[in-house]
Amino acid sequence: MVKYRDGERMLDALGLPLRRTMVRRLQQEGAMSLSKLAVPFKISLPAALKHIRLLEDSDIIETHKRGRVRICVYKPSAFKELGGWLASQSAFWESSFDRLGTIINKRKR
Amino acid sequence: MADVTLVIKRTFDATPEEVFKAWIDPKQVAQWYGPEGFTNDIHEMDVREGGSYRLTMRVPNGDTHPLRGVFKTVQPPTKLVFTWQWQHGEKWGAETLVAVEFKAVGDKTEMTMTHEGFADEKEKEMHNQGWSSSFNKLEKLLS
Repeated sequence: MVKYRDGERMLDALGLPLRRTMVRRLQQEGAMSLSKLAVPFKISLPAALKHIRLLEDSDIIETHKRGRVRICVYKPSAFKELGGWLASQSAFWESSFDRLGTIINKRKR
Repeated sequence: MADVTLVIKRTFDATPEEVFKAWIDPKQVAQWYGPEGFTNDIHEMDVREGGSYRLTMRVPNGDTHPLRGVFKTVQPPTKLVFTWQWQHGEKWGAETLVAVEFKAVGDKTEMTMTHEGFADEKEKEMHNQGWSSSFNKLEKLLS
């Protein structure tokens, strides 16, 4: 719901396995240029840039230009939002299941 | 990377058939989706694989939260899988995936719900499974 929005925006950005692999590489191998990041995927630079923009817009990574090279950096704080999303879903379902238990018991009586 | 999956297990004093029904019967869903005080208007609940559901959750403070999804697996009384998507203003949020499994344990039912943050990968997996089972059939046919 509304306050989980940022978490959901991240989920959307991470919805594509290719973008998750990009993030994982930045996490594990540190900052790198867009062209180096794009190499394993056999995609064009403009295509890679589109994916990177989405990740940047959802605050998972940041990029800056060094001359003609665009450097991509993973943001360590990024997944806190997702933790928030998980916590909110967990609270949602736990309290829903309390009610489910109640109506199941009522029907039995 | 962060594992964006939520797993909750509950045991209910009812048969798997009864618990399964509580997930697909609009009257019951309206009563239990959401925390205490929430109510739900069910607009559509087309319970078959590929069928959609749409509902509006009403929060005690008066806010409304539209929710929608598509049923992916409907296997009464053991398994139910559907997508889950909230509406925020004009836009729809990320599509996530809810899978519920029901297992009889004595005269009770153990329910396991998995809420997976990425709907796409699961779909791909299911797609792959679809293919592998087709290939298995093909193999049998050919042998």
